Amino acid sequence: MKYLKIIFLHFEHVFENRLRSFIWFLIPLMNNLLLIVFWKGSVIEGKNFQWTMSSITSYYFIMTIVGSMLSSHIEEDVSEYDIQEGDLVRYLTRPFSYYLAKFIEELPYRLLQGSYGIILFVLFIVFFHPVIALNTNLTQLPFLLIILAFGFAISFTLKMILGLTTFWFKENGGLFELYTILNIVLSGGIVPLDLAPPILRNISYFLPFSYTGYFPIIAIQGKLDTIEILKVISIQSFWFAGLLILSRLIWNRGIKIFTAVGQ
Amino acid sequence: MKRYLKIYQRLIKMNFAIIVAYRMGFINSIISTIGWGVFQIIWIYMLTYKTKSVFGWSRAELIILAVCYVVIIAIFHLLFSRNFERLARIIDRGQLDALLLKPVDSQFLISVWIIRYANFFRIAMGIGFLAFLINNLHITISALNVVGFLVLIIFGLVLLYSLWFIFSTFLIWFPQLTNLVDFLYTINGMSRYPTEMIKTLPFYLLPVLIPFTITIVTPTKALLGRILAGDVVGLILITFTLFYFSRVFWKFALRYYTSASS
Amino acid sequence: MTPVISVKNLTKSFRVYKKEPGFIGSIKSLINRKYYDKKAVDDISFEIEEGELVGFIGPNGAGKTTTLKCLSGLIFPTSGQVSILGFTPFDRKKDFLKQISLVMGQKNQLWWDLPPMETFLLNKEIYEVPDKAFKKIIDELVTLMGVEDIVNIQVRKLSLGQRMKCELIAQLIHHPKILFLDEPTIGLDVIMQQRLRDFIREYNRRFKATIILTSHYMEDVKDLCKKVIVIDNGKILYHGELNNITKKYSANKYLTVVFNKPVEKERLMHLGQIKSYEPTAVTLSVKRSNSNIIASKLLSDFPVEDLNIEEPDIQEIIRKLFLSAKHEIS
Repeated sequence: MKYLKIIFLHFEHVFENRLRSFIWFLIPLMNNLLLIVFWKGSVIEGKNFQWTMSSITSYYFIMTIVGSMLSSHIEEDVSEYDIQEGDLVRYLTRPFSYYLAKFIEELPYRLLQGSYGIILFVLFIVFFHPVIALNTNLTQLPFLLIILAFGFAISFTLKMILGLTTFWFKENGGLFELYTILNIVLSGGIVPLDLAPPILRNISYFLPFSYTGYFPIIAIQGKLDTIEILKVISIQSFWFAGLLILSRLIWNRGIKIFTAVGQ
Repeated sequence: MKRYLKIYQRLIKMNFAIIVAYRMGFINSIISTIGWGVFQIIWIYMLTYKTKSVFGWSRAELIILAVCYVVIIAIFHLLFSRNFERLARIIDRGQLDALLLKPVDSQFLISVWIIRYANFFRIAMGIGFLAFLINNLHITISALNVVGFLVLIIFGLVLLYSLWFIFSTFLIWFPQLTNLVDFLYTINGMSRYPTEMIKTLPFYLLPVLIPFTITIVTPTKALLGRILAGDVVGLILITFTLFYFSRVFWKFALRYYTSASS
Repeated sequence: MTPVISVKNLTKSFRVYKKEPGFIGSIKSLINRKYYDKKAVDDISFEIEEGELVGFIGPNGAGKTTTLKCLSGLIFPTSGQVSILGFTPFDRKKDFLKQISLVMGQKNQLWWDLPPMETFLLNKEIYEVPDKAFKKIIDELVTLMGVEDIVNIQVRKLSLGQRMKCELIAQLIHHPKILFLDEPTIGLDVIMQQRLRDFIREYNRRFKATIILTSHYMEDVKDLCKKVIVIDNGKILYHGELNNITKKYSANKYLTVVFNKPVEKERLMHLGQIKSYEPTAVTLSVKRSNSNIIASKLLSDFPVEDLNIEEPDIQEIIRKLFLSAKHEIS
């Protein structure tokens, strides 16, 4: 019950800054809209191109919603406010883990962003009636929710780990930027990964980023059969477990330094 | 006026002294500027990997456009962008007062306060890659093309600056929109696309988007020899108009500025 | 003598938006935004001569900071006239700004990663201070503040006290004739507060600068200001000499007595109002005119070890002033 109250309180705070959070949403939306228009004017070379105008439009659209819902930005919060400015101390006296506390704080932001996306999506369908390719296989629905949940969990944990490196490196602005760049490229943020040059494609399948973007999106589009979806979920769970353990390890090591040295 | 030049000289020295005093910060800056520069290039390569042409621009031309974008935006970052981020922060925290009390034009002081030297690396990388591309793709560039390119870059930068300043002035009424700068970066990013593509967007967006895109596209066209006289005249006219308007608008906004009382 | 600062019927009102707390409040404010106009400064007028050191006293929200901001040209008055050194502050002419300095709140002029001297040099260029004058004033200020050793050390490495001193110097490079100080001693320790007061006094004396000082701490005002302006709810309650407040608004004096043998309360009650009592110490409040008579009576009739005649605390007088003003309004 207390968790619900906390979420509600955060939601109110986020709502106050609605204009600001709207802009946060507008940014990826604009980027993706432009990509759609870009594809419209593209003359394709070569055969075996498995995307149509409608499927690629829906790819970017779903990416806007999924992207804003699944990508968290807590690394700055963790790094600057909690570790560097010492706000972390607040959390140490609370009865639940830091990870969980930050997780709960994140949820209202994600929900708000997601709701913008869904509203927009509905508006777009109503006003423009594009043929948006979506998954019509209802039996896959529960799996889709699992994929999305894992996608968020992986993204959150990666960002948490990134933020926690501040225990050792005070200056990690460059590191954060590099992560953002890698993430965009390797999660299918520029083009669907199967359209990427082969080297990049293979690397991205190997790393967790694609499981926070590309795979959830094409699953929603219905491009994966049930076996493939289960494969994705198992890889996601493997990554999530591994990253969670890594995050715990880093936390345990780092908190010793933090409490020993002080701010 | 000589005085403003002296102030700018001082700021150049001080910003340089910070690099020496704060080497880690400088290295981080270099990492991120080069990272983004490389990203832009990967971006265009990935997007056009399977395409022959887009809106009448060949793959080669699109790549050149993207690299010109890298160079020009890097110059913008060198001279101006940090100052806009700082302006958003200052207005939000009510610290504009200290600035307004100085006997110097406030727009000038805001705009030139921070210089991000790390971007020299990105500019160099961009120019190097540009030269490499031109050589590799066997595109013929005459001296006139290069001169036109450089001259139009200057106009493009002044126009871009004016646009950013006009948008940032709105922060005086909406100080909580500190992510306005991120939004402006996104609109900047639209200039990686050919103007023909931008023109297919809804008409009500064009008056805002076109000025942004011509800051990059017009100099690029000059470099590639695809430019028309109308493009040049248009760029110059819009630049002067919007620069003048940015000053008028800013002065207007200051009249309404009420700093938060203690 | 024409006054250096002249304020006539100055009024400044702000629009304040109301919002009910809670989530429902947020939704309500979306639909129907309620606001009211708050008069931060309400029709005030005063004049200040050159070289005066005037204290601005008032509770939080009284309008002190707003007045200072109007005087320095940061805020456009809703109505009224302000004239400083012949300039209208809000015109923000270069020659006006070169002669004033407003020191308030979060001082963040100094560049964090560089020594203070670098910021001083920047301000030198901004205020067009000639080289000779710059050197002279830097030497004077630095010596006065005692920071010779640290002007060339990075600001990030300095202590808070050192930083504040350098921040202040940065604001004075251009030798302002008029200084507005908004809560200058807030957050400082007792020693720093005294040092700062000494500095302000010296600056006023040496350079004949006109200084307006706002402060919560009566110590600042008592120590530095001959004249005060008392302001509450945007209105001026008193403008004049500090000493006169006591005479004007306080009819009483306090007699603090220490006895070397216990004395019963009843024996003292007819002498005056007992403010505090212990068997061997008592504080009496007596009428101003009677204070000497009562004092000599105490000395003759009681086993007095120590006797003190004091003015009531100015803070208390002013508090009474505010309360009576509230009373008048309501």
